[in-house]
Amino acid sequence: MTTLIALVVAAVTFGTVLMFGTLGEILTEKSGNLNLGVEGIMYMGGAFGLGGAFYYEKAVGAAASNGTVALIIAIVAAFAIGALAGLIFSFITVTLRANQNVTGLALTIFGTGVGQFTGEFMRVKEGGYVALSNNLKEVFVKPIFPQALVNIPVVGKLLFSHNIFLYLGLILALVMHFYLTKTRSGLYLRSVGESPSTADTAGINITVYKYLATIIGGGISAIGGMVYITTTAGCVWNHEGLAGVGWLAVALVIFCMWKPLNAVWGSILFGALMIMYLRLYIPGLPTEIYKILPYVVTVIVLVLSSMRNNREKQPPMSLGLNYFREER
Amino acid sequence: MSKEKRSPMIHLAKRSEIDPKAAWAIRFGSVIVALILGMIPVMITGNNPIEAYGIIIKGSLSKPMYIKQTLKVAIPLLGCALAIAPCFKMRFWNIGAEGQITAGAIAASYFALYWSDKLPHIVLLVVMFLSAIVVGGIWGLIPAFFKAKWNTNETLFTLMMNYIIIGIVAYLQGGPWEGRKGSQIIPMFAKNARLPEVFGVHCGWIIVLVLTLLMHIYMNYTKHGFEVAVIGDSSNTARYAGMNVGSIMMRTMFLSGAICGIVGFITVSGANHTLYSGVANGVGFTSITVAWLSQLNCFAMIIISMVLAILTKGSNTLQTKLAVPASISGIVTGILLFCMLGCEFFINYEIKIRRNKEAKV
Amino acid sequence: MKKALIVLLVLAFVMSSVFAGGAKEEAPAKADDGKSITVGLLCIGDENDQGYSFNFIKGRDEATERLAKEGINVKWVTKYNIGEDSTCLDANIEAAEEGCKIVFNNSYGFEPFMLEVAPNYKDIMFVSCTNQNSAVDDLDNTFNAFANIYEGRYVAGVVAGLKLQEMIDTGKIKPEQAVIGYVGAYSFAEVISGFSAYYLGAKSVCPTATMLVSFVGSWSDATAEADAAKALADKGAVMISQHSDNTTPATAAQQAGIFHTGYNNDMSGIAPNASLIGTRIDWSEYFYEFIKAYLAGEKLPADWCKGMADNAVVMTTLNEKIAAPGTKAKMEAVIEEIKAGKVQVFDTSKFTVNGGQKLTHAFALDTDGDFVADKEEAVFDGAYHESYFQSAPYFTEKIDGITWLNAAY
Repeated sequence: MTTLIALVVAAVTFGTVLMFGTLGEILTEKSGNLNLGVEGIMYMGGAFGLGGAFYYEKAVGAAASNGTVALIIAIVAAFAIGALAGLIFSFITVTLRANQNVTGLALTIFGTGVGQFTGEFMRVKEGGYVALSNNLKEVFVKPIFPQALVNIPVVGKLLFSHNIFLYLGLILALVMHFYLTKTRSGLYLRSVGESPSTADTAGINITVYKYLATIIGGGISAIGGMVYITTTAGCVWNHEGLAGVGWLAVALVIFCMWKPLNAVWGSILFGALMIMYLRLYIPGLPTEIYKILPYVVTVIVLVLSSMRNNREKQPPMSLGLNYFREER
Repeated sequence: MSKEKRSPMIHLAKRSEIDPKAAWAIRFGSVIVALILGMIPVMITGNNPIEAYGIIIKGSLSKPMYIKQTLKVAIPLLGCALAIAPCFKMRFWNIGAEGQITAGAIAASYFALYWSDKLPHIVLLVVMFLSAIVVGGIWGLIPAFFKAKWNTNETLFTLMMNYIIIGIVAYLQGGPWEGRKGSQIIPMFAKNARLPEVFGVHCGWIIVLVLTLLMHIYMNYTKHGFEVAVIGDSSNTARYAGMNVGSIMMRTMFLSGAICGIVGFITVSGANHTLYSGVANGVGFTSITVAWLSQLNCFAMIIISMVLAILTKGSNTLQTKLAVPASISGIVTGILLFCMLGCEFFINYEIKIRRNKEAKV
Repeated sequence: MKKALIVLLVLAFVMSSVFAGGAKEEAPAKADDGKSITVGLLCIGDENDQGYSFNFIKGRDEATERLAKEGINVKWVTKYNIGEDSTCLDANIEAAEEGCKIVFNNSYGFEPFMLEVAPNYKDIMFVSCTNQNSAVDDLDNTFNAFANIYEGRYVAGVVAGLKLQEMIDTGKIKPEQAVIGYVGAYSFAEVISGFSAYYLGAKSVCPTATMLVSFVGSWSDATAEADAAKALADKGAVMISQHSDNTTPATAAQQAGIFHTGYNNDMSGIAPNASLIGTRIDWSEYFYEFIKAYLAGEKLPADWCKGMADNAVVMTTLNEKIAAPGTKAKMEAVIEEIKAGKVQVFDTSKFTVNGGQKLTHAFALDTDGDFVADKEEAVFDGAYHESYFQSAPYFTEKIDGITWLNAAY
């Protein structure tokens, strides 16, 4: 039982990273933009989020630094760089009408480069080591609920022992769910993704929706990268750490069928798949084979979801296609 | 139309035709813009960007040994770009080249490790070559099969196939093929499992140059190539024309995987002389850049792969000389791609600025 | 026009290859005045790991200082984040081309690639730290080096054991709860030797101690290391130690409210409430000796290996705030005994294998290339002699009391 609880808690920690990545990409894809650059965006988010908090602490001194401020700076810095990446993507695909797949791949190459460059550059500049002080680290990883709640048997660990980002992610998922299903603007966004020409005829400004969804979506995904560096990677820049996380987030979007609420349990499930090999030993199963489990599961999910050609579970109709008004 | 009020001052018109010279001039211009933008990160590090570009060129071309190393980077890039070209022409987003290279490398390595004492040099190399083609091809065929049958998203499928096959190599490295126990290292290949060198570089360069020519002919002068192009334009049109889109897709992906497999063979047998999980080393992704920057033109790929190889190799020197992180090559490659993607817009569209309101109808 | 251009480019490509092959190798710059030298250091990570590569970089800087005092000026070409793959091949070539006279490779997996490069640069010395083939191959310019880190681990184990015993004595844990969690990279001789020594150190002062080992499958994977440490804590470990490159096990131990001993670096700054002590190889000792011997034209050691007695293995500062009372004195005593050769780490009377049997026989070296040891009896004079026949560790026995959680590696 304790093993199981421990597994869930660890899965949530890793799942939170994926949750932000996935939620951001859901928003982007709802507008019909298939941004394959999440990998790059999360890399940048990780580097800039850490950099933001690090330089804040450096500027005011470790003693004077305020954890909450550092947290906000990290989030804002990550969001800003992710939003910039979203802007680049939108400009090239929406305004300049380039192919989305290739632009996304370019963004991955670019973003990974920028992330690693920034991390490496900070290291060189700061004489070798970029990490937050222990006080600040605490703010990123400690449970936000009082110890009394965490100590409740079973429930306490499962519900209250997580860091702040899980709860932010949950709120975000709820807000996105509400926005997409209950608000007029959300309806417009979905119609842009489903059928841009219809939406255009109805007087919805396609360009604005696509831009905003992609920019905000990129920002959200980037926060995921920052969460990774500050929680699971111990607030230290990690050269290769984020490799593959962003791609998993893209896969999760399909797995979640473009629904924010599904992203919550979906990312926790994948978080579990990612770390299970260290906690649930299966005799006779080589660890390296165990490690590819999440990818095998993704493939199976992809195949199954395509076989069950269910109307409900399809991507936005125009996903990946650019909209040219004059070709309408 | 009832949209006058939202009609912008700038009007776009699709160009019917553009002088190819002008098109290439625009592309060339965008490369220049990209290289200028690429200077920004160098300046952030407090270095002189001109000096940095100088070091990149010097670090990749100034000594015979450097040129050899640069060529060694360029060879798999070119080979893999050739593999990707027909897929992308068909709008089949194969980002699984990384995995297909690895699959081919595994097959070739099996024979290199366990048959090197049983077969003579040339026979062994041919067997490695053929096995890499088959296994690489099959690894590419799997996602194509599901795409053809159930329209399964190929982008993610091919990507996941990368992680799976790379995991399998990691298993082989620490399991059945491991050398010293626990070392995670597969022993180096015997001498007769290695590609011979021609002019100081392993003869993979001859293979990829031959492939370039063959792929050029295949894409432009064969029925297959024509079918691929039609599907790329519109799979519906292809269907109306009576083409079996599914089987063409599978055929093309097998071919693509097979060429990636060859690249895998060249890499293990010519360059690394052993197998490890990072054998593809990002080539599968970078080569997408090569293919796209070349507009899927096989001969242009030769140049572009050289340019990117110079960038990659030179950036390593840059890191040791100026402490500019080597990841700058990723940034510049990304910017190059952005600019090339963006500039197509100016080739395809004409921008007309409305000067007087009366002209508006 | 276009065709002509294409033909031209193909030609250019071919020509450049021809040029590459045809041109003569540049002769390396002639030896210097014996007072200045360029040396390469290839690292698998960078200072950010605050562990393995950081420790080499520290060794580099200290050696430079020591040599500078003697008027020897060392210029380093350091390359970071090199993979155990063909990038290592390139890095070795580049270091050679950039004028290095000596190239140190800091990771085990670099050696096979280094050995591919070495024959082409006969007058450049290539050193593979922690590996074992360079010393015995037929090349005169390849070397191995390691240090008796198991001695340091034994001492770290003593410090950990004292803490465990204190926890038992004060009633914090029951005697059978004295569980050590060990984050290992691979089930590889160097790692096995390390945690066995550590365990024996702990057991020498806390007889009820047991150990769980989790292999993460990577020398350096910050996230996996952290997670493995957390998983071990969840399985009941109250003390974490590690044979992996990062500081994340220390952070994880601190978060879990348990204790830790480090490797490569003093990690008590990173985890002040958890990390008791660390042990490290002082590479400056080797770098200093090697570079000096090279410049003096002396014979270079093919397989260098020194231990605590020569200060090649050292302990980091003890975190006395949290260590058990009396640790410092006991630790110093043990160190003295090791230095004097009075304590044998792998004393066969102190441990059993295979459920209670005494270890009486084990080969040290593999000579026929099948990767199974077949030569040189390592057990004699009442102890298993580690790093005696070669610098790289070869102890691979499974000691009673240590449980491998994932033995599949």
